[in-house]
Amino acid sequence: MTHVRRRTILAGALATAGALTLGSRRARADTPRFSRILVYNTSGGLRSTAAFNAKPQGDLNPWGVAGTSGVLTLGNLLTSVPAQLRYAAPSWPGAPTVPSIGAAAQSFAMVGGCDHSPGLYRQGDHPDDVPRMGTGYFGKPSAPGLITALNRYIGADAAGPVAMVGGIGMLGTAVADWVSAAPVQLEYYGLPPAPPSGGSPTVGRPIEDALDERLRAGRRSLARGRVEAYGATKEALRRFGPLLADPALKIGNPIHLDVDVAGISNRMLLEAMGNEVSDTATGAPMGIRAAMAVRLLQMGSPVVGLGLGSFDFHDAENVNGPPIYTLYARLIAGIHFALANILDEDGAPLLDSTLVVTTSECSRTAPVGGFNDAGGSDHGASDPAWRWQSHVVFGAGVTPKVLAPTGDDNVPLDGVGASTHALLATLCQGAGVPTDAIAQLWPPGTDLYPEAAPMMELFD
Amino acid sequence: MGRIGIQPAVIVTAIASVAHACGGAGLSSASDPTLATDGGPADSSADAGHSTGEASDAGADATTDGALETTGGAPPPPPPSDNPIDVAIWPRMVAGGHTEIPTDPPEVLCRRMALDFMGRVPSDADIGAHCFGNDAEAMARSFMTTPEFIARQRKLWIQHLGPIPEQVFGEHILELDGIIDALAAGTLGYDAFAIRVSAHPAFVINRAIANPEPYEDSARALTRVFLGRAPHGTELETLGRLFRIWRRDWLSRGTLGYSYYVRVATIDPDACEDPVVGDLLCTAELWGEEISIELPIADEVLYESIAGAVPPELQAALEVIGTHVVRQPEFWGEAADHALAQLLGWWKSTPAQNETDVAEVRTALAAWFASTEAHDVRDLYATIASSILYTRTAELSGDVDDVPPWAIGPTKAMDATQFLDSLEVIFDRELGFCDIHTPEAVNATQFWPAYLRVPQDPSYYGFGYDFYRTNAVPLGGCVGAIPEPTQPGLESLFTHIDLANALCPGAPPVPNGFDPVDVGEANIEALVDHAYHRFLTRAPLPGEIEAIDTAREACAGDDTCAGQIFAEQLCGALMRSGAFLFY
Repeated sequence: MTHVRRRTILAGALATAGALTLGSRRARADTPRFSRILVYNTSGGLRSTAAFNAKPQGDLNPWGVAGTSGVLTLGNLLTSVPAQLRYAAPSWPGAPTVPSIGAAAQSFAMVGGCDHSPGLYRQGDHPDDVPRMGTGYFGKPSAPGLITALNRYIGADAAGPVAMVGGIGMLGTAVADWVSAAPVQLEYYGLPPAPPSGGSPTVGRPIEDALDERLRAGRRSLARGRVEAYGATKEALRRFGPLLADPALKIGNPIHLDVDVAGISNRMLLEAMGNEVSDTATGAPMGIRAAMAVRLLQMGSPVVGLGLGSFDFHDAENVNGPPIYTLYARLIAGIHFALANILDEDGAPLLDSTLVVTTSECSRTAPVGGFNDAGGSDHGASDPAWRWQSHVVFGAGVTPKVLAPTGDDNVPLDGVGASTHALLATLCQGAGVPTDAIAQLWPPGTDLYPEAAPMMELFD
Repeated sequence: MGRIGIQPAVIVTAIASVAHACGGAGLSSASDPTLATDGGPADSSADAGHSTGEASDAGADATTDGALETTGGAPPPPPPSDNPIDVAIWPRMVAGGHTEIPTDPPEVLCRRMALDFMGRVPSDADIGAHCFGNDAEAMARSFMTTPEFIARQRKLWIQHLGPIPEQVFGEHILELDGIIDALAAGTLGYDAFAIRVSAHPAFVINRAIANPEPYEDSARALTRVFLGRAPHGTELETLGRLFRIWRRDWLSRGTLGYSYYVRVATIDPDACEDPVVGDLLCTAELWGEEISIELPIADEVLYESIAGAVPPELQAALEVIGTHVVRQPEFWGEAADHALAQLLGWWKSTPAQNETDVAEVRTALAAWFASTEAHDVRDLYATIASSILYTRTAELSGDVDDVPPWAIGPTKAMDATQFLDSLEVIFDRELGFCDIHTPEAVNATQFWPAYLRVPQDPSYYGFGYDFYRTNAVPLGGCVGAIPEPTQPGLESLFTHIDLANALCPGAPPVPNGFDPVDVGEANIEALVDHAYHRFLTRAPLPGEIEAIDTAREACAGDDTCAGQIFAEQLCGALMRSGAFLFY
């Protein structure tokens, strides 16, 4: 198989992109703490009391506690199907093994008890918690998703597209005026064979553009949103077409296993994620998506959303939970490993300038005995196990610490915990979104944002 | 070129073309001259007075207080017709100041309906047969007489019912076609359809592959499809238990050409037998009634052995669950919701947008549909397609601010088969087709062997490969029962480019007498009219005209350009444009 070396070209492209970025970004109130962010979302409601904020009580965590790692308490659930785990990374220099989640988590921080609406009623079902996680609001359809907001303020000049890989709730929702900032939805099996080239610049393209503009100008309401989203997609196609057609992003295609960017091949990224790789196969889809997310970050995407789901185990969580939680944790370990071992244009590990945060729309209840009658868990009502969820944060100079810690019953020690608005504001502040824009998105001091300040102590 | 594009006509409050005549109780004739007025309120009409009264009732039930009050004390205008949708939505229109209802030119409405009901843009023959001289309802009903309508309904219902060949034996799935065809042809009412489907193995054993068997999946599918929601309360457990009569076995059917084990249905009377207390498992309290299934068989029956000839007593027993489902209060509401979503696009398109779920419209449409004698879905579709929600223009002038979704006409993106089937009409060239039941490619026979397929031309119509499926998959289509995306992504747009590059060079749509060399105004104007008509069923509009003129001048000044090249570029521009994709 041909080994394609592309180091010089891509390194040059990235360097150019960096220069462009620095020169054209608007003034900001604060210096960005990081230049890339990966939002790793699990849909359906991840049972954080059995994962990275593992509790000793069986009702909250029927699988038990594995132990502590740094400041985190890890649940057995995260490594409960060891047979599906692969750690060998023979294509990496020195043929290392990827550190396990227990080792990786040594450097993680966590927001222990985060609540979408502190002290207020929450119905606790997906239709309200998905938009709350994505936008900070329920019943405010004009609110943009976190990734959409980030795209508006830090995506414009980037070398790669702000993108979502896999389903990611409403973190990328974009309506009305936000439509043009909608992130690009990518799938490893849907990338173009070659950069697009539709129409000549003097005949075909101007006529096409006039047709599109006439369509756009006449639409209103949701139709306008749909047409503008189409326009944004077409714009992305023209702008990012060459990048999206790059074999280095086609990680699911075994033909391109040995294509590399700055010495990091597709095969290496797949090994980092624990995928079983051969000359004819690239392994599990979620591992491919995670590898693709890291590659996008490496190629210049400032924001990438990665979706893995579904965790909505109202039944059979006792059977189906262990494999997917094990995969979930393994991919986090793989992302950590890859980012720590890929260098940016300045020769520093990407992890130094990339923030990784985990999200889900909610946590899950603690039925007596750990499972409901169907072998699962639920969400809603007054159970603190469901209401306060944990978010893991690492990279970008984040220091290991737990903010808004919770007790064994998952109630925050201060009785309130952190707000989702504070989390979203923190991510935007750290990315360099102007402070006034953040305040417009999530006004400080409201019932939904009572602490009125982002959690910048994560970086202290 | 000095053209003046067709502008949407403004018809104030009264629209003759949407007068409703679906046969529901108390509905007036479409030819009622009092509704075909010049724009003033139809105040002299008894029918109009009746409509106003209905509007008042609807407003009292479903809109905010005072919705019908207008400034200055003037009475609000009556709804434009007695179509139950128009009557129900009218108080909102009045309250929001949206009673001026611009409509699209007939050719635009014709294209919209052709795509919705036939699954492709209209040909000249279609325009003549179904659109010319017809009002909206007649247009819709005419399209619904075509074989293409039946085929379109098959595809949409298969995607809604969701049978997956890995989970359900292919022959079971194929049997659904006949039930859907009967629904679409009006020989099976919607409630009878629901009962038949809920007693059919293609629907009830379409469960995830898991151990133990997830019988609850049958319950979830039933309430999702026919009640529009997830199971509530004890429904999941109870329905899941009742559906245990449908056992699923994993067997080889290699002799039929299946190259993998398939999952077939067996009707199992033992499922009702509790080992301790006897035959109580098929009796349940649900929805305030006792539901009891008494299978008239002593031994299990492989469904294949009775397919197409299920004994009536057994069929009746299998239909017990369905007969109870159709009596639930949500049943007709979901029928209305599903049809509204299909034809309007925006209906219930987002849970965060209350304006997409207009309760009074659903309530009125559901009540009307339930009250019809035949429960014919064609009546339901015709009612929606002749309502102001469907017929009003989707294009507003620049001075109109944002409006609610119900105050602008539908804007939907073509799905994969609409796109490709339209190209067949535009290029007058067969492109092929795919089997709506399976994501498997031709010659992949794990779960959908050749004997279930309609054969295709061995050369794939001159392409030498499966051109249709190859292009449909990245557009989100030809993946069996998996619903298609409603919004194109990057991959779709890349495919549009691929299609334009494949089809336009050498054979762009050109009018008779077109000169492939000449880039003069007359030659290009004739070309543009022809191509626009083929792709968009309309003439170019302001903004587009200027761009065409500029492009022609650029072509004329370029020695490498010619009429043929201009035609190919125009063809590609139209195919890649949002104006073609959205309808």
